[in-house]
Amino acid sequence: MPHVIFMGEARRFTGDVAELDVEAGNVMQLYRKLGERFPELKPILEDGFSVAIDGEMYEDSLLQPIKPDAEVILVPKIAGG
Amino acid sequence: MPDDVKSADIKEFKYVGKRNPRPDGVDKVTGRAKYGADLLLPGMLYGRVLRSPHAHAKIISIDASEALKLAGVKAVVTRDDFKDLPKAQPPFGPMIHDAADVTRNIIAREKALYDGHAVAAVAATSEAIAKKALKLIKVEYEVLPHVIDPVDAMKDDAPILHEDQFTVGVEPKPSKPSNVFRVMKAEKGDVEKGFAEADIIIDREFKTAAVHQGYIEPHACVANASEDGSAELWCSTQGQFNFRAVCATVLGMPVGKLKVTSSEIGGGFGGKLPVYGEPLAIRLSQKAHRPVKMVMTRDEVFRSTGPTSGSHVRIKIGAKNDGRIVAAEGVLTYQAGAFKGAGLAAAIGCMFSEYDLENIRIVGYDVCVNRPKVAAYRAPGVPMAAFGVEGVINEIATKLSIDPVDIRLKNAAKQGTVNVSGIKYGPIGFIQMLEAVKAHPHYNAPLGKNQGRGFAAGYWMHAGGMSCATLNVQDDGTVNLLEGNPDIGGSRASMAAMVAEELGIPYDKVRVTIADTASLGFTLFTAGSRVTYATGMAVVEAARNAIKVCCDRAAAAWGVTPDQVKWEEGHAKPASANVGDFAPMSLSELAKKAPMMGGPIAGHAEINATGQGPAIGAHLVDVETDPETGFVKLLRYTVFQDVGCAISPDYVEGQMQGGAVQGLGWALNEEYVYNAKGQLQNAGFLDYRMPVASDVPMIDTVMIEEPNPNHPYGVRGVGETPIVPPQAAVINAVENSVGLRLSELPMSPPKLLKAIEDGRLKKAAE
Amino acid sequence: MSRHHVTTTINGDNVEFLCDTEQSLLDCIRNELHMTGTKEGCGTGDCGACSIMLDGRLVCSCLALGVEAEGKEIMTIEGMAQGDELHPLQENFIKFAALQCGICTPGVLIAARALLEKNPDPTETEVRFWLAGNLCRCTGYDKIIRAVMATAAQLRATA
Repeated sequence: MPHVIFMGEARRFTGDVAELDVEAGNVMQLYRKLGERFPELKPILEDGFSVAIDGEMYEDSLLQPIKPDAEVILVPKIAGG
Repeated sequence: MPDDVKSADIKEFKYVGKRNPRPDGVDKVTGRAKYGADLLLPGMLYGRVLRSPHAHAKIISIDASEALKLAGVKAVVTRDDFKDLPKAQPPFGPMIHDAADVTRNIIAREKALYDGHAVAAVAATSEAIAKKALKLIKVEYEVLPHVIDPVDAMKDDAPILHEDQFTVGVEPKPSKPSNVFRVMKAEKGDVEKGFAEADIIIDREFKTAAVHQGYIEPHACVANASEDGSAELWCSTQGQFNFRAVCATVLGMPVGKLKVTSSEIGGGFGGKLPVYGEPLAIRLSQKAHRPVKMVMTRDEVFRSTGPTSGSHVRIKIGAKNDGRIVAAEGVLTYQAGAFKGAGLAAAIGCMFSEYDLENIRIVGYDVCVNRPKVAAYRAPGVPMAAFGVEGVINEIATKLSIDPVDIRLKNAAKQGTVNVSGIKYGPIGFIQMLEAVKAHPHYNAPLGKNQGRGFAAGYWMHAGGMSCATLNVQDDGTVNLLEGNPDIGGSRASMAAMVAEELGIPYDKVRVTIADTASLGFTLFTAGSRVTYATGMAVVEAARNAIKVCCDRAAAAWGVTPDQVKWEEGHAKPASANVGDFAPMSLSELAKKAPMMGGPIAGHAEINATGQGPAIGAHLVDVETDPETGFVKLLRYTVFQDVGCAISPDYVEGQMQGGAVQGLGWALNEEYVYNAKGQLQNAGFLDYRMPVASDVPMIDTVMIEEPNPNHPYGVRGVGETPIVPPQAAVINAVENSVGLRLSELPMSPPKLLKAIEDGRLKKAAE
Repeated sequence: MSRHHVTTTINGDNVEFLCDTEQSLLDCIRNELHMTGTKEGCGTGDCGACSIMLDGRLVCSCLALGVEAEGKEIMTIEGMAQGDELHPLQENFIKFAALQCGICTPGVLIAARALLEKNPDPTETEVRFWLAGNLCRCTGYDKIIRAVMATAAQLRATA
């Protein structure tokens, strides 16, 4: 099962939960599960965060597959100039 | 350049990596290129904006009846011509999209929130009449107390800009409104433990002034609305597709009814990402039934657009005696301007990210003040934080008698390093870069009296995002490429080079056109150092799709399968001798026969580029300080940067040089100066002093090419990184020249002279 | 109030236009004569984007009045190339990548041309001080200076 770690801004919405195993095969499924578990996080997942899957960045990639042994971190999106 | 460092993984190409003349070069040296203010339409009206002279005032009433009576005035718009839009509600993600703020920023509603805030706009048959009409609009204000500095704005008795804003990110949830929109945090490891292990801890406060992007072309547009509900907008923008989306939202138009064409753009640096006069011009055109041109004056550019956040930054870093950093902490207080949204997420994600650190804690405050809403400015948010971080690292190096490059080598991020956001790095060239710095003749060149050398590094993440490209092969074998990013710094040259390389045709057979919003799919703005990376990927994919069409046709002609055909040097060829003996078919031949072989040859791509990655730089600068006047003369400057693969080395160097000089202005001269009433005092180039040619030396560049595995040619975004290190590097050099610790930007002559004199007094007292 | 009738020469062509008393020469060139190669960056003579030659003198056209052009000779960026042949400065600005966004380029080229006519062998410092009235925010000036110096050398070699 993919292992999700909450750091920084994401942690604000997960309370005391710092990490969690989530059954999800892609980013969309992961967001759905996280949204159910943390309703505060739900409305901002897609617009506010990218994911680092095993350290590799994926922005706006709901269909990106996540391997069962992957480590996933929510990374705040940043804007450039 | 002999000094550049090329990884063995960078291949030699025919056009990629070469100094090709830019396709738009002749147009731009002959005055032919059309910028925002250069479009003239028959019957065109001139729009002008009335702006608040008050930093903070309730708008009781606006009466435009006298203005409308003036001959030649065709339309007036005020807040009443724009629908209020729903306010974004918490929770807020790291990115803020608040339509209610946007519609209030383009034209004030309940209150004017800064000196220069738009209050009304007129369209008239001449500029002179429009100006006269502005004087006839009566606005009744109730002036309110204002606040300019973010630290003052955080105090309990500070005037509140938004009565409905309650700080996000603090527990318990506040019951009183605040100018602090939110508190952002990031943490990695255990900083307390780290500091407990430290042999040396340096804790310092820094201050930086708000600075403007300073593009030479003022914001300009021409709007032309039709009675059928559609409209066309010509404008100077970093992103025609983003402008279309925002204007459509603000005006309540279906997106497909608005066509936005990006003119040539005379600089942006992030400042031409937001809309300002564009929705006003469209509304005026709708009301007047004629085209409306709207061009800002320089005064308006300074008072109403840009700038970047001024900041208060506190940095605390602990290290072992050998220079290894064991804990790093930052507190960032950033001006957001009149509406929420300072560049904190980027600052937090980048400020320590070129280092491999175990323990980090960062807190950021996003603070509203009575200034124009900040806009992105090249690596938005990062230079202020990096100024503090690099300053403290330099101080630790001095205290521990470690070379400033060595202390960074000791802590440098490398492949596998995980930063504060959780991103694990692939191959990055920071260590090679630091070694290149040490090996460079600049590093050990002798210095004279009152001279000092400074060094600093910087980090930025280039962006990816959506991009489209369409490539049409014409019947004579020439190629038209359509892509969606306004070309601000020579990107057409890079796109043409990649297409020529892929197709195996001469560079000058590729013509690049920047598409309007009706001609191509959504392409994200020219920002975030993303164009050559993301749009470059789309362009390469489009070329490869066109090649596939060519190979399929050759295969059908030869009666073989497509995988038995390869594309090489502009020709379809049998993939091996076993396939058969067929004469290669060139792109020109295939193009000529296209009408009889299935129709036109084209390739297109619609992508969302992921895999944003690190782009690191390091700067070396020599200065001479005049202890009698506080004037700092810049003697020598060298920029080192990991550029991945330089598609157009000329324009990569140009980004490195231009970014560095903007950083030098930030360090030494530029600042927004307000009077006691909160009115901007230096809204012009004479008093807002940007670097001129005689202020700076040649800017030497060393490109480190460590290819980015996520891009077909190994590109990393290069535009933004070079503005991150200069502030700390130049202050470090000034410090070394006068033997003082400095902490405030800009270090202009009066401030530096005072610091030197205070230092003398202190020394005398000791 | 009636407008002024101005007769002048621009890049060798005789032209006429009408203007208001307070209208700047820059405004007249751009909006009355529709020659938009000359750019407006500030309107206060600080950025040099509107540089033109007026009777052989380098001026910021935003600081001159339209009526001042009466009977004079104006040269703008549109008059710099001769037919198909770019001026060597124009050639070298492309070759040395001395422009990025290009908005300051017409003014810089006019100013640089004026320098080389006056001083065919300028030092780097002289080029920098001559061009100090032409703001460029993109390039950091490096490649502009190199292009001007290279052109000077080239013109000296062919003179």
